[in-house]
Amino acid sequence: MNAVVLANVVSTVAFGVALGVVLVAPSRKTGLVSPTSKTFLALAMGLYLFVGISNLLEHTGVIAFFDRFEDYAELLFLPLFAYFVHSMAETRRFEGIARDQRALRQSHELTMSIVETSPAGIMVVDPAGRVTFANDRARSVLRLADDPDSVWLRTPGWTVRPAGIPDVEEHPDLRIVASGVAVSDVPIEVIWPDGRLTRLAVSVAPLADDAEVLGGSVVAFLETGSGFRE
Amino acid sequence: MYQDNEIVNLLLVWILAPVIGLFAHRARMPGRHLFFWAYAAMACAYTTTVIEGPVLPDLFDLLEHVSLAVAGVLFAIGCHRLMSAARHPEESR
Repeated sequence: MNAVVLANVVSTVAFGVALGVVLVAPSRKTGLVSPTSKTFLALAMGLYLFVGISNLLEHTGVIAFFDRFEDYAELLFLPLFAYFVHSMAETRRFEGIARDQRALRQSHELTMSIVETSPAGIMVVDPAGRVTFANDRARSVLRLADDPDSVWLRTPGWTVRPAGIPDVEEHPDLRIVASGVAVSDVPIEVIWPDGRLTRLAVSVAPLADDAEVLGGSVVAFLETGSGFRE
Repeated sequence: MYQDNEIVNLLLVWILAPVIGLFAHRARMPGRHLFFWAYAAMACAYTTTVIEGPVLPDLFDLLEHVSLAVAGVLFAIGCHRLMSAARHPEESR
């Protein structure tokens, strides 16, 4: 047996083993090697198994018939192998996206749990002072309700003004806390249609987008007292 | 003399090499070094196929087939490592 034939034997057996290893591995839609990656790799290894067998038959003098197809096999191997590696990279990328989505969902659920169980009222207010989100406590204290016709929560008709300032303008929304300035424990008064008055201590954190444009404010408050309008 | 299809194969193997290398790096494939050296052996085989036409035909023909044998062995080990890692993903992270 000359060296070329020996090399062909090794090549044929090795590519045969490679193809066998790929084919017997279980296919899973999720995981490191997708069925698509596996198919491309199996085809690539299969092509070179064919090349090995063809070389072996040719160099042992059995038959040279398959030699004419070897070039096609060698040419096809390259794109198939490239597709296999590309498919592996895509699988890894999708895996990363799915992992990020899971982490984001868990983080969102944690944040919502904290917000919903907080004893303080927490709201998100747009720059015009309209409430776009409120936790249960805020909904309860300010009697906010969902409005099926808009994205804002409906108020029962109260007005709001800064506390302790005489003859100040009252507003039917929360614009006095939505100016984009961060404040802490600022007293305000909510005046109800029947003349009742609820005092709140309000803290505000402005929400800015990537372009530093005010997108609204997070407003947290504690109820500090109640009374009647003078 | 060399054949046209051998030149096409040779060009393809070298043109695709950086692309395949980039995707293999992104894929963080287990056994990617084995696949890298297997592909290099394959590129060596494609190169010697072209060279064997005008220069030392017996030597470069032998080198071609030895390169293919080396590539086959490395692919077989690489496939085994990759498929083992796919079966036991926790161990491969």
